[in-house]
Amino acid sequence: MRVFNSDFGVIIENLKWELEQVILHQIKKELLRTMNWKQIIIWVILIIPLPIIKFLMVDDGYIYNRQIEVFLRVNSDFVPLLFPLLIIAAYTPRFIGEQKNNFLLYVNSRISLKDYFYVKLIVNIIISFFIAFFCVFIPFLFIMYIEPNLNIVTISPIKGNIIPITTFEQFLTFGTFIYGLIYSSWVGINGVLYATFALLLLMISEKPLVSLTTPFIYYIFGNFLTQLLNYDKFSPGSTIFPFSISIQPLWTVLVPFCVLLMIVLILFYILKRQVGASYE
Amino acid sequence: MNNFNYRLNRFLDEELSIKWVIIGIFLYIYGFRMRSNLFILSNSESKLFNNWDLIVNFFSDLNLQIYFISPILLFLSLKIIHLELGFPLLIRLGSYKNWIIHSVIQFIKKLFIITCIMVIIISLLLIGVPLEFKWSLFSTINEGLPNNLPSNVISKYIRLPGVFLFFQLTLFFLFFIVVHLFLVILYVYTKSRLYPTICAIMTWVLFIVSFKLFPASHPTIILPSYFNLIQGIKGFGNTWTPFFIVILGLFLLSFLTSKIDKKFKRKSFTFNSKYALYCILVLLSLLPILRQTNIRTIQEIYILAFYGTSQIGFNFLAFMSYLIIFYGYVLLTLLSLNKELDNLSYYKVLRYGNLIKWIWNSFVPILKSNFFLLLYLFSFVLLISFLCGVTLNDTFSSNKSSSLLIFYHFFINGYLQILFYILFAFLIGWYTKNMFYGFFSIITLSIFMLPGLNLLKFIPSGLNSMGYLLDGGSPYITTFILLLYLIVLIGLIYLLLNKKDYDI
Repeated sequence: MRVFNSDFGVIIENLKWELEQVILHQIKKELLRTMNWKQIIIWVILIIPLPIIKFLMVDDGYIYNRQIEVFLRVNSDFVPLLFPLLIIAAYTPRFIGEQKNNFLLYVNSRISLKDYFYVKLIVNIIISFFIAFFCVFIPFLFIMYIEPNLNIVTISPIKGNIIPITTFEQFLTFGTFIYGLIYSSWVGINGVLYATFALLLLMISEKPLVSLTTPFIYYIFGNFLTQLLNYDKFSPGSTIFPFSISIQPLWTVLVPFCVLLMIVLILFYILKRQVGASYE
Repeated sequence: MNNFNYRLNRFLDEELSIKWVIIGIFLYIYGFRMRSNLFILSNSESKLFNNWDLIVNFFSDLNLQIYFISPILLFLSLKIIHLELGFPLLIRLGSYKNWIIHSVIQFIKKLFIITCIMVIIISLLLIGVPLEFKWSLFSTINEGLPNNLPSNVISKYIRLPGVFLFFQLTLFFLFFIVVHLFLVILYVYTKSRLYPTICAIMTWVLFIVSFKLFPASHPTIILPSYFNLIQGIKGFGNTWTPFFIVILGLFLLSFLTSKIDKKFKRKSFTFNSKYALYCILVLLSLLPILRQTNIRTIQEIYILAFYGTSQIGFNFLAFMSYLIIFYGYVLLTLLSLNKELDNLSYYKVLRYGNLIKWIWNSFVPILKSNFFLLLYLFSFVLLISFLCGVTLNDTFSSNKSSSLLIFYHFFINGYLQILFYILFAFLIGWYTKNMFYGFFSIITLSIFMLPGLNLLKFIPSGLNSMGYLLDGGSPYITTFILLLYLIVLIGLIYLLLNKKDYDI
């Protein structure tokens, strides 16, 4: 009945009701459903082992002038290589089963598929953000705050001005912890984009293997091409994990980010147009 | 016999036309000028020339070939394509392959007639020239002649003049057969008369342009060196490189010809975007070797192109191109396997009897295409190295055993490594019922290619990279390790698939 009322306030109220009752409720449910022990173990496996292996490899044999260099070195090589796949593996494959076994057909009778997809995307964003965030933030906390007490790595400080070597060290002026937070959030946001890229492709194309690997191919090939053309500062990998290149101005990191954002927005637009036609 | 007589009569009727006579007259005038020129030259040098000088100069005269014979041959080739190949003939012959073979035979006939005319002309011109069975004294002169006469160039390379004549004619035949085959295949693919015509004209222009304008330091891009042996010898420095390239081209085109009917039967000219994308990516990833300037030998090119990784000298770009070439291919294979997995139903299992037979059936094409991938990569890099100006000659001047080692490492270890990737991904993918995890696991294996982890080279990831050869490792041990892993993998897959009950 409320739909027929053209009063603007009522429409807003209507939307609010839908948001609270349907979407928020559904997000809560979806999150609870995802957080079973099996999934949590998978997340831990995704986050913890790679930095540990890297840390064990680099804890001696290198000369570090600052504590943060240990963190940067731990963050090189392994995580940057696998980054999109790690993030995608966290949550997105769960959607394959729903698509494959005609689960969506029965979902449709209970909730609008559009809402359902949005909920999935939002949950995917939340989870991938935290996975990517903790991928960097846990090693950061460990190396910056726990490791100095354990004295595993010897630091040989140099006197005089400290020369920053990587991008994002501009934030070190606000304090180490703030730097860690901002940098981890940056990695988190990029993780969100890659995971959303994969999930949107999966929703559009319904081809699991193609859609889950395409972001990774984009990432690897972007890295390769920018390196080939000597535009390292715009490579998708080095702008997230800037260890392998020298310090760049902060705006450079926005270039691959914007490209990826554009891809995601276009895919979202396609999904929006398609979702009514193909599923319902 | 009657049939033979009929055919002979028809052949004579068809081919003994006025055009051959005109061609013959032109050739006679040209040859006569050449002969009087030779007389003048040998008089001035006061050394006698013999029949071979005239024959060799006549059959390998570049101007005659480029400006007179090759346009005639291209014209004849186009004429065969346009007039003699109609749909009634296609119906009679049954397939495009037979059609192409028929046209090639027609073309060989024309080639044969032209050669016959040249032989007749030359035997007319030989009247009054001293006959001998070896190179003349005149052809041993190296300097002082106004322009390099073919016989003077060639007498240093080949002892018997008859052998040279045979080689020259064979090369000439082969090259123009390749050109004709190319035009016919183009016609069959495009179904348009325009493209072969344009292509033939372009070929002729390219003959002239590459002969006149292109630098002599890059013999591979000078087309006449593929049908004129003298030019080829001058460019490549040996006799067999032009033969090698022309025969390679012939094989490639014959391969295309043998596949041409399958393409039409399936009626799928659909451009497979995945494979096209993969090809472009591979091209781009092989690009860095083109930018190298100081490459000497072919071995170096192979090592650079498939460098992959090495525990001593790690190169990020090489690592990336390894990922793109090999993992990209594995991903493509997994996509096709995934399709097979998705379509698997109990009915299908019933049809095959058991899962082992099913998986074996779907693995046979993969086993084949693995080999073809390596073959294509190998020949492509070979082609690139030719274009870079590295001649095959260098391969033999340097260490022969190292090139054998590279060959072995590239093919055997590459094959086993790719097979390992595919089987491992399949194992994980089958176990988790999601091929994505299979791909994820082999990509995770690739972190062992980064320096510092795979010191013992026991983890099967990137073991086929050429960098490991530079480390001093033996490729035979690598083969052994890979075989060991493969046996374990096949055993595991056998155990997984051989269960009595399973759900799909």
